[in-house]
Amino acid sequence: MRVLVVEDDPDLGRQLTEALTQAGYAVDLAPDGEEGHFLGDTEPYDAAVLDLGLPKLDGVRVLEKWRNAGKDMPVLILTARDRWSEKVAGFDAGADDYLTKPFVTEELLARLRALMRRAAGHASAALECGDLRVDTRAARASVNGEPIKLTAHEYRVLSYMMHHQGRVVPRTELVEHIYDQDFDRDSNTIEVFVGRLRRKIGSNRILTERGLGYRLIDPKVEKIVE
Amino acid sequence: MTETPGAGEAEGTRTRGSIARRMLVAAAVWSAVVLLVAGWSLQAFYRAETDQQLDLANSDTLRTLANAVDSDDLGEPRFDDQKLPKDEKFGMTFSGRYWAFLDVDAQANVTRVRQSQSFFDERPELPAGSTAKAIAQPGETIQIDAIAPNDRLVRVGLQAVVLSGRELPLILYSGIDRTAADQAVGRFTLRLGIALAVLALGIVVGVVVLIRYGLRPLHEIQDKLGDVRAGRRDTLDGEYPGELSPLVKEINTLIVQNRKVVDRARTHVGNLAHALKTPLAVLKNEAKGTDRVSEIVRRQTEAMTNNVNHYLKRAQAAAQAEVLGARTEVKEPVEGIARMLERLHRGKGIAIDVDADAKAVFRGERGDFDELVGNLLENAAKWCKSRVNVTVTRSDDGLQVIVDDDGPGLPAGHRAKALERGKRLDESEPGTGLGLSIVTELADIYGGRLHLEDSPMGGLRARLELPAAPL
Repeated sequence: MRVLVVEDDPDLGRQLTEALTQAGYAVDLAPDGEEGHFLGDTEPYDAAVLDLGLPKLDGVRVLEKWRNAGKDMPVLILTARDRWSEKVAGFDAGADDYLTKPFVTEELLARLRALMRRAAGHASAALECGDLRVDTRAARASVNGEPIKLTAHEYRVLSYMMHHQGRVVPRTELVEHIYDQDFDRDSNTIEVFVGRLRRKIGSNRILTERGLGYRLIDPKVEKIVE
Repeated sequence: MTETPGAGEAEGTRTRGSIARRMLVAAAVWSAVVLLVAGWSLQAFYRAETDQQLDLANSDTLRTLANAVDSDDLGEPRFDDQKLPKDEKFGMTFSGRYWAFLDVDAQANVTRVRQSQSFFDERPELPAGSTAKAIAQPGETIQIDAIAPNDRLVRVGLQAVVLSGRELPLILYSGIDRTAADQAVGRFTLRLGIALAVLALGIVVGVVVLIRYGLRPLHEIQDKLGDVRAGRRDTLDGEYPGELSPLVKEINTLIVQNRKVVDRARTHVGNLAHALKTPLAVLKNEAKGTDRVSEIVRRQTEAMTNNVNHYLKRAQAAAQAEVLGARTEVKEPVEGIARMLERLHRGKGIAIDVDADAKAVFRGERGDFDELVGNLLENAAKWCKSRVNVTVTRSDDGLQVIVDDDGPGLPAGHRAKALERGKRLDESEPGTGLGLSIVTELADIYGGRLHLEDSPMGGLRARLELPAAPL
């Protein structure tokens, strides 16, 4: 899962980036409204953390422009001013949640998780596909109750596919959602990650749809027919 | 910061007299002086005119008398009775017309007299020195007032004539009773007095009307200023006389200035909030460790956050409660906040019904109203199962905002505690616990009240009473 953080305070930006990365997300940080708007407009994010008081282009305008362009990722706004009219303006522009500064990053992570889950139509913090289970709170996966050790990238691939289980996820989409923008992307590495994941969780769970992408299934419900 | 003196009694102003009374007194004194001078002049003028009439008649008689007298060789006066004045009044006793020839000695004492029959048995009486004066200017007529026969006042003309062969002049006397003339002057003076008194009354009434009319724009300004303070009006609009429009302009500038100062204060407060909160967030997140320092930093940043929030909100509110003419239409902000909270709690799926009287207008700042209603609604949305009802009604006493939810409610014993500053009854729910206490304090600043009651929907009912702005 890939998250955009638009925050002008360098310390807070760094803290958020670190906390989100640690929680298993690919993170891009934009230090002002213009860059934030550009990234959100051109890159596919699973969620955005948007400060309202931004240089160059203010947060509400950024959000409005995203929504007008049809970007529908969940957006959590950060406000310092704590005025209701500002919050209402943020929500009317299309925000999904807000946090008032100062806040602890755990709170932000919990809210973001909930937003992304809701956006993907899942109700609980734990995503399940048969006996495969991903706990987004702890960024851990298990099969049949047995924990599986995953690298950060492997977790991101699995987590994204869990959020979109049953649907064909194109390889390019996966690339876009597991790497931040500074990463040197190579779609061949996806095959490597998928291969490793298959070894760790069982090869019958990730289906390759030729020419289209991958699909996560519950092998007890749907069999792979090669 | 906690004091919010009523705007009613401004210090340093006392009533000293009134412009109306000053103008009235000035007008009365001035018109009295003018009317008295005018009255006295008119009366004097009329009297002089009357005297002149009498003097003319005397002069005629004196000319006739001068023609009727001559002197013989011895220097004795010789009268030609045919030429004496013909008027029969001179023959009637005390008729009011008199003539006489007066012989005088060297000391100007009257020695011999020939006089008209109208004198009857009396003699012409003259003020001392008048004969001497006539002798000093022979041929000239001396006009004087004298006591005449029958103790009446007469207008007397004296003329000294020098007859040939005589060393001493003969004095001619003509008198006219001036009682009638004096009565005419008296009547005239009386009528004049009445006329002038009526005029004076008219002037005073006119001045009163003038003052009323002239001061009306001032009363208008006073009424409109009251409206501004009550929030019915933004500035003193309308047209004013040239003398007042600079004052009105100044007052309007002052009103705008007042708003600007409050706005600026609010902006500064907001900036301070922004400036403090981001560093606090950074500190809070950096102090994650379990060591002593981290723990202290964590605890202290938490305390700082609470204090910053609390006092900034209070400062904002205190600044705003004093702004002139603040009014907030209630419907739109309530609906906005309800819309926002519904979206915020989409996962839970709640419905917030708003029923707000379109005539409900809060006498205060928008930001404060948002804070009041936002906190109540946020609490309700947090605790409700699925439904929240907001009703805003307007009565004669003010506004009433009722927020009902279908949540678990709050036992009566916990309600007072829930309103205390920084108290959070359920520590597991996120929030600073400032919500209800800030509502209580804000309501206090505006002279309102917050009540917590049982809701007919099963949960908690928050009933907030606030002052309404006049329509």
